[in-house]
Amino acid sequence: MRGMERWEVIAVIVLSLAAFVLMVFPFVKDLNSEVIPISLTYDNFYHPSMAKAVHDTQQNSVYAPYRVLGIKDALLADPPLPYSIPATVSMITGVPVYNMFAILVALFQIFMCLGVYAIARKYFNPVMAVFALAIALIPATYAWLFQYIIGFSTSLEAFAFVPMILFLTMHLYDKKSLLASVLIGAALSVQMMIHGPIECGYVYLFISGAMGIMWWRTRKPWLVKSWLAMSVSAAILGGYQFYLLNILRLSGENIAGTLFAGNPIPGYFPQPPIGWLLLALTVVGGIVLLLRLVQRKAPAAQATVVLFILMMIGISLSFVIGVDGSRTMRQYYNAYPFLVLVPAAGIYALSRLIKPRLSEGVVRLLEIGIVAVVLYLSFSPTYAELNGVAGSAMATPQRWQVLQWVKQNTPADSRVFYLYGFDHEFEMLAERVSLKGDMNLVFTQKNVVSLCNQQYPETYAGQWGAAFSVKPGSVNGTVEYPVYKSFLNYPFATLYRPGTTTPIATVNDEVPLSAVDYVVFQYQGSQVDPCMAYFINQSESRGSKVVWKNDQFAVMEVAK
Amino acid sequence: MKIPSECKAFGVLTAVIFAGSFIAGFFVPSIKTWLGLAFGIWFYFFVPGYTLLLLLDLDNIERSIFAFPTGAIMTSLMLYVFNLVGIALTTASVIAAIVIVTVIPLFFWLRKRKHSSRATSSAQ
Repeated sequence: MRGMERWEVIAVIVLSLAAFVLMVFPFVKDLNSEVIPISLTYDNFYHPSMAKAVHDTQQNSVYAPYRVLGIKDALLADPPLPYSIPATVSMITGVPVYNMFAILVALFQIFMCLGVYAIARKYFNPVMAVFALAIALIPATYAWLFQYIIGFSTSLEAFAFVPMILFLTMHLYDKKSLLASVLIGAALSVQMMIHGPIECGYVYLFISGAMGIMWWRTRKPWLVKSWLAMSVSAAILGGYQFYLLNILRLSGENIAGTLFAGNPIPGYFPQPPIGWLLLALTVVGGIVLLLRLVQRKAPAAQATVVLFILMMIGISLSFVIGVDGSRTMRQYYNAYPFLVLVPAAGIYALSRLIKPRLSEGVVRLLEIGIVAVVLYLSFSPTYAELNGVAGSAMATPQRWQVLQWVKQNTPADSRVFYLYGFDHEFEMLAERVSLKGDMNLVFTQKNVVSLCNQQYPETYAGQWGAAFSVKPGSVNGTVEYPVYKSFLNYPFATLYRPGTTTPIATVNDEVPLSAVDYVVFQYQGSQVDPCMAYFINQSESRGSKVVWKNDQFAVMEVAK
Repeated sequence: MKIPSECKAFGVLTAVIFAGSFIAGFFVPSIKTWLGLAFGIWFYFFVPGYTLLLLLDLDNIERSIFAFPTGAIMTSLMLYVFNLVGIALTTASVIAAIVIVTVIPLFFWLRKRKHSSRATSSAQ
């Protein structure tokens, strides 16, 4: 290994390890802990809890019963791999699934950045590649934290295969490897099995287009063979998953409806600030790369990367023509390691400009200085944000205590109603069939309003929960969730409607308290909640009893 | 016997993973935990991924980087197929899946090496 190359490898290893420590350990305080390390949003609960379900049930074909009204063999119509990978890695490492999930998200992100580095190193310039890697691994605040704050970890994991797919495509140009084609197809199918058709859809179209252009220019038959090998490989498992997700679970019009609903970027999405230096370097790098493309100076591999970056910018901005902003904007965050190739090219181009006037060592120092300033400007707000996020976990120790008590002291098939003070995420972690009592839902607020008015409800409003949103329906303005029986038992995945002609659904309903076995509620904050005190007194006078409590929460066993 | 450069590079990669996890070790409670983490990630992702990529004409840095996603693809797809045919996801089945997706490309790589060394010696 040459001296320069050795320094590059050392820089890459140090940057990767630094990113790993910074991405994981502000959140994972104790590697052996059974507590979800990041608990800010719904997805941050949903994904790790699904992984835990796969881990505990040792299968990824059917939902855990507590997720679907207690049904034991409802077909898992979610993409399975984001859950089965952490579940099975956890079996090998011995690290609890919740922590393993967070660690793997960081590893996927780091290896995505390293994949882009490998592309830039081979097809652009090794020094520029290290600059891009540094900016990608220590990026602007929200690009790094997006998956933690919003919880779009599965989107990120699906995109993490893109550098490898692009690299293998360019490898195909050089080596005509059939194995590379098959591996690209397998990567596409894994993308489908991680996050549905979004990432693998546009990547497949892009790769097909790139191969098509190559074939049009060269008429080489092996390109057709490679495309076929890739497509067949992708279709074998990816096709089945597409059927499961998009034909069975959704209908065609719903896909189009979701994508072209004209939704703007949701308000809770972070709007990333781009520093003036990064912006200036991006302008310089953009001009250089586009000029090379237009003047046809860029080799096929470089042209492919630049066109991919342009496509990602186009996808990110497509919300302006009515494509769902939630889905387009996340591609900006996903593509960040590719986008920073542009400012890295800017740094490299500027240094080439001054190179004739200065010695090699001075030029290298200047380059490193510019990268250091870019990193400093990015890192300061990022680090502040990391600390802020890490310190604002939603699940307090008191909540985890009651959760653990429910898990350890109630029968596995018991029905639990979270009356007040809990978010709907909690049902997943308690692993019990629930009647959702989420206070965020206007529908269920009437329970508490009634109790605060000193009126004991004969029936309680709730939402019997299957916790995956599938098909916006019209049943009394509620949401309808068809559940399918596992095809392992029933070959054609028939709609599962035990003893009824209507779909098993998440339905808004009002039921007497005796329909559930336990009620969990928060009765004390800074002082005793009078509404909940009324609930306790009235329920106990009707034969129910508080069986456990800490200084904030209580569990009541309901009289039958 | 001369050690192939691919094997040396894999040794370096293994050393980096374990040494890197030593840094993580500062944040975790016990040696057993961080060794388990390092071994699990190495075994699940890098062993099968690196082995398959031996069949492609890549340099050692590229092979080391893309071993992670390749291992994720191979192991997770094999386990998905296992589960489809009714095999439970347990530690034993995970190890079996990794061994299968590692041994097959390793066999082809060794065969390829044998053929190429034969061709080299007959050319000499």
